[in-house]
Formats: sequence, C-alpha cells, structure tokens
Amino acid sequence: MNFEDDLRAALRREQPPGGFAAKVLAAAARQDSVAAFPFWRRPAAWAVAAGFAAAAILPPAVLEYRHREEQRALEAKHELLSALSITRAKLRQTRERVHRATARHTL
Amino acid sequence: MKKKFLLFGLALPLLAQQAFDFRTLDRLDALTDHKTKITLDPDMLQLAARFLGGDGDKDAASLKSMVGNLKGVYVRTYEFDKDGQYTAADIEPFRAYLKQGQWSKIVESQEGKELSEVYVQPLPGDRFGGVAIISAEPRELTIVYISGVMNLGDLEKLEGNMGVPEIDLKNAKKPPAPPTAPPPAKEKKED
Repeated sequence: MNFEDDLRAALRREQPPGGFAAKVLAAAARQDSVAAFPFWRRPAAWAVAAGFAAAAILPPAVLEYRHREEQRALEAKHELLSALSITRAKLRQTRERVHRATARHTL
Repeated sequence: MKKKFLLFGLALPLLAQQAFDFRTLDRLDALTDHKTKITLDPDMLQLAARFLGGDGDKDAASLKSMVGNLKGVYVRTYEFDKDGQYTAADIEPFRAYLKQGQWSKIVESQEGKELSEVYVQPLPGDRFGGVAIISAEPRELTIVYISGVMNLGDLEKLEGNMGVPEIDLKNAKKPPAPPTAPPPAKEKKED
C-alpha cells in the first residue's frame, strides 16, 4: 500500500516553475539563430579575412610605393645632373669670354 | 659673442629672402619649343642625393655633400628660332630679385650681343648663399639659380667635372628631323 502511495506521489502532476515555457522558447530561438548565422558573417571570420587580405595586399603596395619613389629619385638625379651640367657649361663659357676679353685688352 | 650676433644679423636678411618666382619667365614658354626647365626643391634634392655617391666614387660623394646643403636648383634654358624673340625686360624681374637680395655680380662679360653675368650671395666666412647665372645670346637665354650654402670649393666643383656627365642638351632636346626634309643648317654657338 505504501509503495502505491509513493508511486502516486512521485508521478503526480506538478505545475512547471514560472516562465518555464518562455525560457524553453528562448533557448530554442537561440539555437536556431546560431545555426542560421553562417561562419562568414561572424566578426571573428571577418577579422581573419581582413588579416589575410592585408597580408596579401600590403607587401605589393609597399613594393609599388618603393618602386615609384626610386623612379622619382632617379628622375631627380637625372635632372640634378642636367642642371649641374648646364651650370658648368655656362660658367666655362663665361670664363672663356672673360679670358678672350682680357687677351684682347692686353693686345 | 657680439661678433657672432653681428654676423647673424648680417646674414639674416639674406637667409630670409623668398625664392625667385620663376613663373615670371613663363611668358617665354610660348615662344619656343626648345626649352629646358629644371626645378629641384629641397625634397627633390634630397631624393636625388640618395642616388649619388653610393658606389664609392669620390667625385659623386663630394657632389652629394654639396647637394646636401642646397635648398633649390632652378634652370631655365630657351632656344629661339629668330633673333629678338625675347627682350631684356624678360630678364629684368630676375635681375631685380638678385639686387633686392644683396647678391653681388662677380662677373659681367659682353661680347657683341652675347652677355654673361654671374652673381653670388655673399655670406660671412667665405661662404655663399647661392650662385646665379644669366647667359643671354640673340637666340638663346639661360638662367641658373642655385640656392644654398656653398663655399669657394663648391663653386670650383660646379665648374669642374665632379662626375657630372657632359650632356649635349642642344641635340638631346631637339625633336628628330623629318626623314624627307634636309637637316636644318644649325649654327653652332661655339665660343
């Protein structure tokens, strides 16, 4: 008889705690959203992708920048040598004119 | 100490002078296709100096040290087809600028219609704040303006070789002659 009472007590209907249904629904919705959110839309995935992209793009960009700077420097050097060449030619020309003038004056 | 202040005071107006505005010569651009315009500001000079004297060449290393002190190199060369395409008035703003900046004309040489003027901007201690050249011929005008602290040795270097290759600018700047036409009789302006 006792056993039957114990069993009845164990199997009796009980009301769930307050908000139980809401908690279950929320948990289910959470699981759905995790499943529906693809890995490529997660921030961590973007960070990794950005890292790879930077690693792929930056070295060529740096090389390109260096190459352009080198080109500019070579052009500047060429212009400098041209400028100095003209300066030298004009200084020599002036010196020769002065020498000729001096020679004429002496004669 | 007083002497130092005095020297500094004398040098101050020279250092404070603004660079010549080479746009005043732009009028000449339209008169000829045969021109050389070189403008090297301090940044460009620094850039150029990076590629000088790297291979143990003494001349180039010496040139590099001189270029390191320069603030600007400006060259304008115009070759004209006819006499009288430019006038003395075209050069006058440059001369006025040199006068205003207390530059000293150290050489003036005239042979017929050919004129050469060399100016330096004296600084205390046998140094110069720059060198300027005006070379005027009936069909050719050259203006050189080099700004920056130099000494007498640097001026000699400018006239010497210094590892600077001879550049035949007249021929380098001429456009190639058309194949059918005979080459124009070029009067070589040898002095």
